[in-house]
Amino acid sequence: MKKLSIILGISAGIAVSAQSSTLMINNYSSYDAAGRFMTVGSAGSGSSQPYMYALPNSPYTVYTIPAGGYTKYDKFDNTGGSNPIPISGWYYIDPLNSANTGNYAYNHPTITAVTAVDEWMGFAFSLTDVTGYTFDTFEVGDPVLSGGFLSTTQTGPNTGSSADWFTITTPGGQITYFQIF
Amino acid sequence: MITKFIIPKTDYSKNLTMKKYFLSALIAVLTLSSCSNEGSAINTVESMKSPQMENFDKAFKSLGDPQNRPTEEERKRNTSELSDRRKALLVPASKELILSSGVTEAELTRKTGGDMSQIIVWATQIYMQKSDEIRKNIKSEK
Repeated sequence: MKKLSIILGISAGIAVSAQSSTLMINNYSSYDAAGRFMTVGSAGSGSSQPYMYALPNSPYTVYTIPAGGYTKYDKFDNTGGSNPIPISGWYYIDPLNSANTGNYAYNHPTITAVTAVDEWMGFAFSLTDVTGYTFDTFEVGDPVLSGGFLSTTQTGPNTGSSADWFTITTPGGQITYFQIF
Repeated sequence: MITKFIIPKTDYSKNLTMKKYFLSALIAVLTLSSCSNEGSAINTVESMKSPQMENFDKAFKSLGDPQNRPTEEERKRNTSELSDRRKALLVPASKELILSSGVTEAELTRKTGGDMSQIIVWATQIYMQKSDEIRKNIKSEK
């Protein structure tokens, strides 16, 4: 019995640590990166698990990582004001029940529930200047979770800027990094 | 502090004026220092980073240098995991940052077994925590 509970405890620990890892973002470029910042169910894109898009961060009309911006997020339900670039809420999509689909504050119980299910997937974005003019568009993220829709690296032909999405994985957990050069 | 002054009985009246003098001086100092605090709000996260944090930044930024971009082969791999070649570029600055947090070389080796991923993840956690602390300090100064 004791052995079983230890095994269960360890496997639960692994299951929890495998999901909703920390994300670190650095935009080293001189352009704003604006677009759709996405999460996905751990079973990958196209599954019946809920997925989410980040709502716009103030003062922008779409989610934006400003030129020179740095931020980190540790969990989906902790993306608020304690982070350098806060995400105040998420557009939550439930493929199984469209009545649940809609905007939720980051600390809503619905977002807490999805924290155990979803992973960071990627960012489909444009590099823009302060007037909103688009120079290049990117679709960068986890190639496996996105079902091949996103690539780990891309270079913009007009800006010469590159974007990388990568993970560093250890037995104790994983950190996801997103960088624009 | 003031209550600890030994007040000689013979010179009591003079001491009252001294007290007043001290009090107005104290008010003047407090007023001046509160003005100078406004200037310190100029402090930015960048300017308050330790040299080890700056080097950690530089290492991650260097992944964008032409020679450090993913090779054709690295692009083709169907995984988000950073290649060992590019992980190696992050290890020296990561070690430096961990050691600067008070961890000994022996402890670093014991806890990570020299594993690149474990060293980088540990350093990233330290970096994020220190950035948070700097941001909090700047906020409280304001």
